[in-house]
Order: sequence, then C-alpha cells, then structure tokens
Amino acid sequence: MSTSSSKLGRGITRRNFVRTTGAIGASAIASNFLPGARSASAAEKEFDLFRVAMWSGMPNLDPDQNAIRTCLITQNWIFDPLVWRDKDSNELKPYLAEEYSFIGKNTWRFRIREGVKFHNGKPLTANSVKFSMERRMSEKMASPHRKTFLDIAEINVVNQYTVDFVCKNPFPMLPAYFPIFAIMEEGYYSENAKEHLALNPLGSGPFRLTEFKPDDILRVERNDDYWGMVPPIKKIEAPVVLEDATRVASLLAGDLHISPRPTIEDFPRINASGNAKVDVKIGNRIVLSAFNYAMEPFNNKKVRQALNYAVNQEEINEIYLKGSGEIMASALPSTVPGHHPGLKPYPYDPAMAKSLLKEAGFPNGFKTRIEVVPPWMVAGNEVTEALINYLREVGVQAEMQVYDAGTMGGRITSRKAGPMYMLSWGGNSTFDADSYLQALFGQGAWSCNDMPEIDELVAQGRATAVHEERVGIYQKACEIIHDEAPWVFLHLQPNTYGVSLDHDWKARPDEMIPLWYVNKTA
Amino acid sequence: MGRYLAHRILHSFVVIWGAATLVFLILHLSPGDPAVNLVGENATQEQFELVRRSLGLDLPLHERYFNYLTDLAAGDLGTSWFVGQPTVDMLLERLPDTIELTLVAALIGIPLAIGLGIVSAVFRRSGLDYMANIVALFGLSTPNFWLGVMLILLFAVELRWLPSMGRGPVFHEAIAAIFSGQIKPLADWASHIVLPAVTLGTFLMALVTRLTRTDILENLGRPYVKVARAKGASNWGVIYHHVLPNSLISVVTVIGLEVGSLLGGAVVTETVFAWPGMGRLLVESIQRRDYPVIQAGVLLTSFVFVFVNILIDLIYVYLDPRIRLK
Repeated sequence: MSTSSSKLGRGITRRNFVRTTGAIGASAIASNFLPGARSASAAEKEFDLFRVAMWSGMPNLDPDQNAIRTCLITQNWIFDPLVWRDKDSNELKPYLAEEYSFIGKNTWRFRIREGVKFHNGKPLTANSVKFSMERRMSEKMASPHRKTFLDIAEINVVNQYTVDFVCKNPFPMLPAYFPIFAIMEEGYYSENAKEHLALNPLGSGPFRLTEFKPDDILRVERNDDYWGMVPPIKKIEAPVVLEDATRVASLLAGDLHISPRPTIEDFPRINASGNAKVDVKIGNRIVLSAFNYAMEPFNNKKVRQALNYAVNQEEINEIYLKGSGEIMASALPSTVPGHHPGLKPYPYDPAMAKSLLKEAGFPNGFKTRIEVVPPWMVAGNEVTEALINYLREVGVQAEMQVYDAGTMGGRITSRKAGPMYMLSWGGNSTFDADSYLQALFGQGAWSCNDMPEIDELVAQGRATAVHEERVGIYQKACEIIHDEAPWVFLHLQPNTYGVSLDHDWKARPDEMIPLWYVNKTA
Repeated sequence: MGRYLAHRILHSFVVIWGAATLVFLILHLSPGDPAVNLVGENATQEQFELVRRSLGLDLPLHERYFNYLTDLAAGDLGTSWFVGQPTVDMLLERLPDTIELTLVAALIGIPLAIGLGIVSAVFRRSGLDYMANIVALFGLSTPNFWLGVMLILLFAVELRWLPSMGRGPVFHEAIAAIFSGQIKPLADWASHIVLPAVTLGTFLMALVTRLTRTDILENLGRPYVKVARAKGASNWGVIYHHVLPNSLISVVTVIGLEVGSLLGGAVVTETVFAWPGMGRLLVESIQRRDYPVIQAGVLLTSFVFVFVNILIDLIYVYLDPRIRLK
C-alpha cells in the first residue's frame, strides 16, 4: 500500500488528514510567517524590552532535564516545536513541521520546513528531530519526558526533511505531546556537558539566549535570522517573582507587561488601574477533590455520590473564581476531545446527600480529612474550606490538612493521600484525554482509586488513531467516572494573567506564553 | 589570642557538623518526595522509582548519611538535582548579592539607630524621645513582608520613583562606570537596592535604637560620667568619648547576631523584592526539595554565623581594652 493512499482508520484517509491538520495549517502559518524585512510602520510597533514575570523558579533550561511549567514556557521562546497550538483556535497546527500525518502501520510522518537554522548557524533537518527524540528517550539522559515517548519503537529519517516515528501502537496522542518537544542541534547537544546545557540552551526559535541565572532571571533577544515572522519584541526579560503581591504591584507600576496568576482578590484593582487588565481563558486545568478508595468509607459508591450532591459547585465558582470557571460533571474538561456534553454536573441537593449517606449506613455522617496544597489551584485554601462547610451541612465533619507540594505528591503517588485530597490537573497541556485518564484513574501514578475499567478504556483509546473512535471510548469512560464518582467534581480552572494595555497578547488555554507574535498597541 | 582563636575555630567545626547533621536528618526524615517535582505530571510509578534510585533515596538512612559525610569530608557539597550545577557554585553566585543587601541595610539602619538611640536617651521624655520610640516600636512590630509590599505600593506604584523589584547593575560595575563618566549605573543600582535594604534594615534599626537608648541611659548614671563632667567635659563630649564606647558592647553583640542571621538569608525580603540572594535560592530549593542545595546552604549559613561571631569577639577587644581573649 502506498503511503499516499494509506488509511488512518475508518473513513479518514491520509490525504484528508493532512488536508485538515497539515496543509490548511501550513498555509495559515505561511501567511503569518513570511520572512522578510520589517516595514517602517512595523518598526514603530516594536518593543525594545518586554518583561514577563515567572511565578515559580526556572532552575534549568535543558528541555530534557526538567518538566517544570515555567521552564516549558521560556524554552518555547528559544526552541521551535514541530507542532503548535493555534493562538485563536487552540487547535494543533504545523510549525517546524510543514505537514504531518498518520500513514498507517503505526507510523507518524513529519515533513520538516526547509531552510531553518539553529542559533549557531547549523541547519535543522530530519536528523535533528531524530537526535532530539532519541536524546529524550535515552536511559542515560533520564529525561522526565522519557516515559511519555516509550511507545515509539524507531525513528527513521526518510530524507533530509522527512522523518517517520514508527510506534508500538498507533500512539494517537503523539502530536499532542509535540508542542513541548524541543528540537535541538545535534553537535552542540552531544558535545557539551549536561551542566553546561542546563544553563546555555540553543535552539532555532524566535529568540536566542543572552543571559540565564537559574531561579532568578532569563534574558533573551530577538533572532533576526528567524525563518518565520521576525518578532516585534527585541528583548525579553523573565524575572522570577515568587510573591503574588509583588507581581501585581510590578504590573501596576509598569515594570511588567505580563504578570501571570494574579490572585482573584486583585482582579478589581488591576482592572481599575487604567494601565492593565485581567485576561482570563478557560484552559485545561481541572480542580477536584479525590477520594482514596483504600480508606473508609470511600470504598462505598453511595458515600462518594452523596458528597457530590452535598457540594454547591456553582456557588464555589461564583464566589472564589468570580464565575470564571466551568463546572465539571466528570473527568474531562470541555476543552478536551472525549468530554461528554450529555453529562450534567451533580446538582446541589443536601437532602439527597443525607438520604444516600443514610442508605450507606452513615445516618449521622462521619469524620474525615481533606489534604491540600493551596498553591496547586486558584483560591486553594478558600475552596477547601468551602468544601468542608458544605460537608458539615450533611453531617460529615472534615478537617483540613495543608501540605507542601513535594510531600503531597509523595503521598498521592504512594497512594497514602486522603481519605480526601484536593488536586488540580493540566494534562501537560496536551488537551488529550489520555493525559487525564491514564494518570488519574486505576493504576495511574496520581490515582488513589480502584477503577480497572478505566485502565481498560485507556488501553483501547491508545489502540486506535481514529479520532471519532477515541472520542467514543473516552466519553464512555466519562459516563463510568460520573456514576462511580471517584472525586467530588469541582471546576475547570481558568488561566489568569494581569496584562498591560500596551500590547495585544491574549491568555491561552495551554498555559503557554509565546511572544513572537505580540504587537505593541500603544 | 592565638590559643583563643584556635579554640573557637575548633568549636566552630563541631557547631557546623551539628547543623549539617540536623538538617540532613530533618530533610530525610520528613515526609515528601523530590522525585515528584523532578518527573512531572505524566510520570508513572515506575518512573518515580527510577528517579528515587538514581538520587540514592532508596538507600537506608545511615547509608545516605555516611555517603553525605564522606562527600563532605572530600569537600564535595553535591550537585543540585534540579539546576544540575555544583551547589557551591550556586551558593557562591548568590552570596555576594545577599552580602551586598545586608551591608546596605546595615549601613542605612545602624547609624540611624545609634543616632536615634543617643537623641532619645539624651532628650529623655521629650518629644524627640517619644518620636524615636514610636519609630522603634513601628520597626519592631512591622513584619517584613507587609512593609516591603507597602513600600512597593507607595514608591513604585503610586509615586513611580523607584523600581518595584529585581536588582540593577552589580555594585562594582556601577562604581567602575563612574570612572568612565557614567553616573546612571550607580543611580540604577541605588534605586533597586534602596527599598529592599530599608525593608531589611528596619527591624535592625528599631532593635539597635532601643538597645542604644537603654545602654546610654544606664551609663549616664554611672560615676565616671560625673567625673568627666566635673573635669569640665561638654555634654556631647561625655556622650561621644565616654558613654558611647561603653554602651556599644551590647549593641555590637546584637548587631553581630542580627547581621549574621541576615547574611544567612534574608528570605522574606529577597522573596518580596525578587532579589537574587541566597535566601530566595533556599526558599526555592526547599519548595522543590532540592536536598543538596538545602544542605549546602545551611552549612554555609552556619559557617557565616560562626565567622561573624568570632569577628564580634575580636571587635570587643578593640572597643574595650579591659577585655582580653583567653
């Protein structure tokens, strides 16, 4: 079978797939990325310096030595990914890859843009892609992303600009992981020591490194030889500002252009400042209160359902997120294919909650504990306290236990968390159902429930590359999860930013802050 | 003096070893898992185990402690698990920034405090005394994180006189620029350091003000003051030449202890102002559970503390020749 006519699955040909995911995207990108000199009017819209605060440390900028969100954000200024999420539609679009497709036989083919050069002048080719993935998958490198790609069996360079990923199964979510897969220059990354590479990233992206002080500040400058649109920003500074109040004050003082994660209480002050505003976008981060099935009485489905009826999700959203969240009915948010629009959130019904508790053998309620790491979610303390108050109304006396992230993570991954624990989950910005279901249920690393039926559905979802088929599988999983109620379903949390009014950057669902397309507007 | 110093240095090794052991035990016995922060969201249980093994966290506690002491004896303070750099390099890169901030805070706070303390004591129960007391009380009772944010809101957001955070050029570069006729780098340096230094120095200023006032009042009632006055010394002459040197012993002790602890990491101030010092490095390392950095940081802090205290002992001799170190 020739590759051009190979089938993706029922009803979808490679040609159609490429047409929808590749060619359209490529033409759209081409219109935005045509290289060339900037006009005089464009030059007037340039920023000499653009400042974005990072809310937590950036220890290391070797893409294979970290999986930290702030590092993923800043690495994307320096490195180009093969595919990217469109700033308006959030759909996956070709970037370094001019087109990509599933060509059958568990193989994904990527055709790489020609004429792209790394910051050291070396050409970016299919070999660079092969090298970057092999580095990521190597045991010696021990990349935190390694496990994600272990379903790749081999990487074949077809020609100078075409590379095939031959997988052990269809690996349908492969492209979804690629927006954070950085393409590296083989010579530089194989000749230098890890210690050097941690501090001196070199990619082909729109900005090149000028200075990096771990956990302090990153400075980059425009790559004037960029293959795409030359960014209107000449230099970027990204200081690490841990303190929420300082980030907001710095925005209001005009010292920052983007201040991520302002607290909800600061929203009115920012909007009233006259030089900044709050930008909110529903993203991929869900917030939930999980039950540990190994701890009494949460092995009882009726108890779990009762607690869902006991909590007023709408009120929590209105009060603590100013209505900016989205109420959840099951595991997958509305931004992820596989979300089940037919499922309705559990209504707030304390009477039903009491009735279910009585049926479960707890007419007078019981005592329990909710563990939380407040910074993991917007208004973490307040949302947990609200939850405790709702539970008290139906006779469940819950106490709150605050942990730091390292401790809590250890408790969850060793299945000792709970009996209830608060969690937020962003699915590594893949917007793929697999990222949620494989981790949060059954044998998943972040699961404290016992749901082998979800493990089975996750395996089924990985065995096909047909989009509709996968959606059907994940919707079935959502139905089971809704009924089994392994969590108190809460909300889909928005991504929030304070932004100055002199540019046109907009908040994105994927929690990334790309800046190559930002224009000066005032 | 020589024997005394040798004795103190020997003692300091015991103190530093004790601090190193204590922090090792606290880190390794407290719950929590650095692997969780290293591998990210999509990791599997198998991957966590792999990382734990590679960090040596699967070894029994005594083996980990033995390895730690062996490395320490060989002068190896380890490599950061997250930054991938030797911890010594990381700490030594941040230490000058913390020293700079602490010194400026002390230079702003201590002369002001001694001046206020003297005025307050000399003009006891006057309006000046009450004002100095109010300033001292404010400084003692104001938490750094609140004061820092208030200063940012006033001077950066409202008045727009000063930058809200970060640091300007390095001091020696700013000074070097003056010789080439450029004053802007120094102004830039000063504008960045003034708010964190004031925030950091306020508590020290308040404490030293109160102490200076109390000590001067105590000394003013002593017979040697009456003798000095009987010999015709002026009021300020008595204060400057006789009372102040006698009052400074306890003040220097407190300054030593406070400056020592500030050098150990002005954690809150550095965090509020995004100042790239050692305190902030330790906060970030603690949040991530980067054990090698935390252990090395505590070791360095202990060293600084011990060193500053030895220095203070030497200053005693200078201030009061009656004191002899044996």
